[in-house]
Amino acid sequence: MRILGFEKSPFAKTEITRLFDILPGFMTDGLESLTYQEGNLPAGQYNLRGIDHAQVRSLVLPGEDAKKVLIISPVHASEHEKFFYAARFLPDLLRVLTLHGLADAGEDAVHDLPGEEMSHKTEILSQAFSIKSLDDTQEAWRVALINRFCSRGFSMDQARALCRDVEDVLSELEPELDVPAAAYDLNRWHQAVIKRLARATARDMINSNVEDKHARASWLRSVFPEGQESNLEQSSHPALSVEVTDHLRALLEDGQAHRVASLHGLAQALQDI
Amino acid sequence: MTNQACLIIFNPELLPLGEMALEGSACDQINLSQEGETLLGAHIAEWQTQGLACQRPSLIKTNEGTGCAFCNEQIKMNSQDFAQAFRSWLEDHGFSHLTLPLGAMVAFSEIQRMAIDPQKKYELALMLRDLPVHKLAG
Repeated sequence: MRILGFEKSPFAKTEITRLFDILPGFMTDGLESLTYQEGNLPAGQYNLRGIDHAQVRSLVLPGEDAKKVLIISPVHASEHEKFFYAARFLPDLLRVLTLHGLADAGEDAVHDLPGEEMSHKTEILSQAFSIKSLDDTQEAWRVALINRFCSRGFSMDQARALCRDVEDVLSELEPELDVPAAAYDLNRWHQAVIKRLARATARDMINSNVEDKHARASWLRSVFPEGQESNLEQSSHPALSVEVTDHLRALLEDGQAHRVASLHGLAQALQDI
Repeated sequence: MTNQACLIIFNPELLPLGEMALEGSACDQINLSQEGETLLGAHIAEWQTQGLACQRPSLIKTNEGTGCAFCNEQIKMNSQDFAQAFRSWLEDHGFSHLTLPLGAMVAFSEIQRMAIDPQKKYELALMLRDLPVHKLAG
């Protein structure tokens, strides 16, 4: 039995089910998703030799009957930490599942590749799904991926060739797959998760930091302006700068991962009360 | 003297947010725009004390055979591994980046003043990167 486990998961079961619907089949074939509570996954059963200086976050194990992919998230002390973990979750998950999918497809006996080469191939392929394009067209996806490869030091010609290689490998692994559409849907999923957790985190921060009920209502109104008159929608709490307020609202409304630091701004302002 | 370069940070719309001066692959100093400070300032303050969390794949031996583990490591800003960890972090959060030799930064500033769309500016900056600007600067 192969298991994709999420230890101490900050994700709802419906979100994980939706994620499995979007992920390409070569990454998820034979995997069953279980939350920590459902699976009671025994992370400690593995005797990991050679890992003593770093926290293991996930494992891809070989073996005919015991192939497992285990995602181990840190113990979250607060909503705040849970949120920052979730903001980076999708790219990390895609790396792990790409490696798993390649190994499962017998791609060059992935586990026998030297570490750097394995890492390179996994990274290049996982970019195909984690890249953020502004729409789900092939052209937008290609431009975003080529930009990404260029930023990693490849020339424009090399990046174009690499993009074609990625398309060729993926069409061999899964001929029917619409990669730009899958990448677009995965990013939409990630935005929805970030949005949900950001809203929960912001509410938790305000409710646990502000004791006075009038002050608390004032903070909540300024951070969550929905349902207010239009002349109040752009108002800011005096303790929050306009920039932080704008970025915070965009994070809560759109779930854009690059705006995660606006929650730091809110935390700082609350600490300064 | 080690190799000096500038890692330029862009938002998802490819507008520059600031740059990080690199000594080799370690962070030497950072200059951010106001928007860059809002988006990255709190993270950078955290990395200065705790380092940047980075996941790296490692081959491992287990009772079930050789497998792969992704491990969490904290990378210090003065470490020669920092630039790569920072690039991965930027990508994971939807930012873009480009590393130019120090001698190309004046020309990069000129490109930013041009009245063309951000994607074209980014492509021009790429062409600039691939020119032998270190020779021109001398």
